Amino acid sequence: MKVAAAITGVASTAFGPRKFADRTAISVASEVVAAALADAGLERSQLDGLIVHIGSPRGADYDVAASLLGLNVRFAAQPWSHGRFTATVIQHAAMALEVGLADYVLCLASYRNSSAGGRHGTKTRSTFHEYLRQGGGPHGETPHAGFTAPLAGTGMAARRYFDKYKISLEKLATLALTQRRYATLNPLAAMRKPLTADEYFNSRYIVEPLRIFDCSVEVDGAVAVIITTADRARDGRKPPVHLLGFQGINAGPNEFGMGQPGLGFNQAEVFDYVAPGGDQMMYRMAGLQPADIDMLQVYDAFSPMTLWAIERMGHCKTGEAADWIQNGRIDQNGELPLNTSGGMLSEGHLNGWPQIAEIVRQLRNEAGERQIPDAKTGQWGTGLGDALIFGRDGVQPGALA
Amino acid sequence: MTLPIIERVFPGEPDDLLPAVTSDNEPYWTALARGELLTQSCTQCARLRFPVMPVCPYCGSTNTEWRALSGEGEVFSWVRYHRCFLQEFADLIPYVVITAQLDRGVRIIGRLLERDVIPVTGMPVTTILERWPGGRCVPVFSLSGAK
Ligand SMILES: [Zn+2]
Repeated sequence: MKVAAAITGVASTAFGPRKFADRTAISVASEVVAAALADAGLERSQLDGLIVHIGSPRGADYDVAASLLGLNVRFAAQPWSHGRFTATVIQHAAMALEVGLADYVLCLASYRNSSAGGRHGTKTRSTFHEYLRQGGGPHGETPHAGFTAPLAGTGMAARRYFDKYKISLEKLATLALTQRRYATLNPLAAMRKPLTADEYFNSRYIVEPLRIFDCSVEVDGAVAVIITTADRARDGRKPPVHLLGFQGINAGPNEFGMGQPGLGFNQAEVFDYVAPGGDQMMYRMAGLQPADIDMLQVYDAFSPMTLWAIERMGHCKTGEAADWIQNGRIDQNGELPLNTSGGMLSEGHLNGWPQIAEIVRQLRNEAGERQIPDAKTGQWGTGLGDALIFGRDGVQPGALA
Repeated sequence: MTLPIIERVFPGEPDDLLPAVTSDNEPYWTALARGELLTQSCTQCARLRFPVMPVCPYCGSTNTEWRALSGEGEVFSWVRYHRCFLQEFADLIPYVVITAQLDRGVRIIGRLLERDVIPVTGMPVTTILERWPGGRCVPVFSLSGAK
C-alpha cells in the first residue's frame, strides 16, 4: 500500500507562554494561513478541505475558522480537543485527498493555552469537567483522590516503568538538556536560555518523580500545514515533503496515553510489553525500517512519554530507551536526532504541530543552525502508536529499501 | 466487610470533585456511603473489574454481579504532589497518591493518609473510607494497621 500525499505549504508563529494572550486565535490563524498559502504558492480559493485541531475555547472551531478566514471548503473535520490527534488529522487529510473529497487540505492548529482558564489539573481549566467522566479523566485524573493534572498519570506509570526495568531516574535529564540545546538554536522556541545539568537536578518536583524540567511548556501559537496529492505538490513553490507511511492511534483497555501498555495503569493489564520494532504498518507502507529514519519527533508532554514513544516506534526494545538516548545518540550529529526544534519541553507544547512544521523544515533544508545533515526521512510518533513518516523530495516509498 | 470511616473536613464545599452518580455506578457509591467497597464481578469469567463498566474487558460478557472487597492490598505505584492543583488538598501538600493493588486483582487510585513516608512498591495497605460533606465516601489508603 502506498500513500500519495505531500505537504506543500507550512507556516507557524513563534511560540511562547501567553504570547497571544491579548489576541484571538482566529487572528493568529489568519497570519499562518496566509503565510502557508504563500509558502505553497497557492491561492486561498484553492483550499477546499479543512481540518481544525483543538477548538474553542482555546482555538476557533472549524465552522468559524472557515467563515472568518474566507475559506470555502467541501470537506471539513475537527477531532476531540486533545493533542493526541496530530497524526490522525494528517492521516484524515491524506485519506480525503486519496478519495477525492478535497484537493488541498488545510490542517490548522491555532490556539492560545493562555486562554484555557488555568493550569491543567485546576478547577478553572476549561477541560476540568472531563476529569469527572465515567471511567476517569483523559489522563487518568481522579479528582476525589487529589489526583489531577496529566503529569500525575505519567508519574504513576513512570514509577512502574522505572522500577520494572531498574532504570535510574537521572537518565531522564538527557531529554530536557538535549532538547533545550536544540531550542537555543530555534528562534521560534519558547525556552531558549541554556539549561545546565545542575539546574535540572536542583529543580523542584511538581508531582514526584517528575521535576519541572520534565514538563512541557504550554504555549500560545499557530501552525498551518497544507497537504495535497503528490502529483499536485510537484507544482508547488517549495519541494514537496512526502507522506510515506502512517499508522493510527490505538485505544482500548490496555492503552493509556500517558504511559505504556503493560504497566497496569488503573485496570490495564500487567504484562511484558514487547515493542514492535520494524514490524509495523507505517514501515511497511514506507518500505523503510527504523534504522532508515533520520530524525524523530515525539509527543513529549512529559519526558517519560518520549521513552515510551521511542520504544513504540521501534527504535529500541522495551525498557531500553533511557539508556538508548545517552551518549549523543539523539544529538544533532547523532544516530537519531530527537525533538530537534526543542520539542514540547522547550520549543513549546502546541500538541505536536510545531514538531510537524519542524519535520517539513528539516526535510527542506530550512532548519538553520539546527539542520540535521542530509536528513532524508523524518518521523512523528506517540506512545499510543500513532505515527507519520515523511520523506524529502526524491525519497519515494520504498526508495531506501 | 464494613470498612472504617473517617470524616473529612474541608475549608469549602468539595461538591465538584466527585463524579456524578449514574445508573451504572450507583451501587458502588451507595455501598461506599454505608462502608462497603464493591466492585463488579463477571458472572461468565469470574474476573473482577474497576472502574464500573458495562462490558467485561476480559471476555465481553455484560452479565455482572457486585462483590465486596476486603480493602486489603499493597502499593502498586505512587506519586507525591508538591504543587497544589486543588484547594481542597492545599493543606496536605506534599501528599502521596497511590495506586493500590487490592486483593483479587482490582487496582484503585487514592490518597495515602500517611504523608511523611517514602512508599515502596509492595508495601501492604488497608482501605479506609473518608466521608465527605454531603455524605458520600471515597476510598483512601493507610500503611498502618495493614497486615
Ligand atoms: Zn468476563
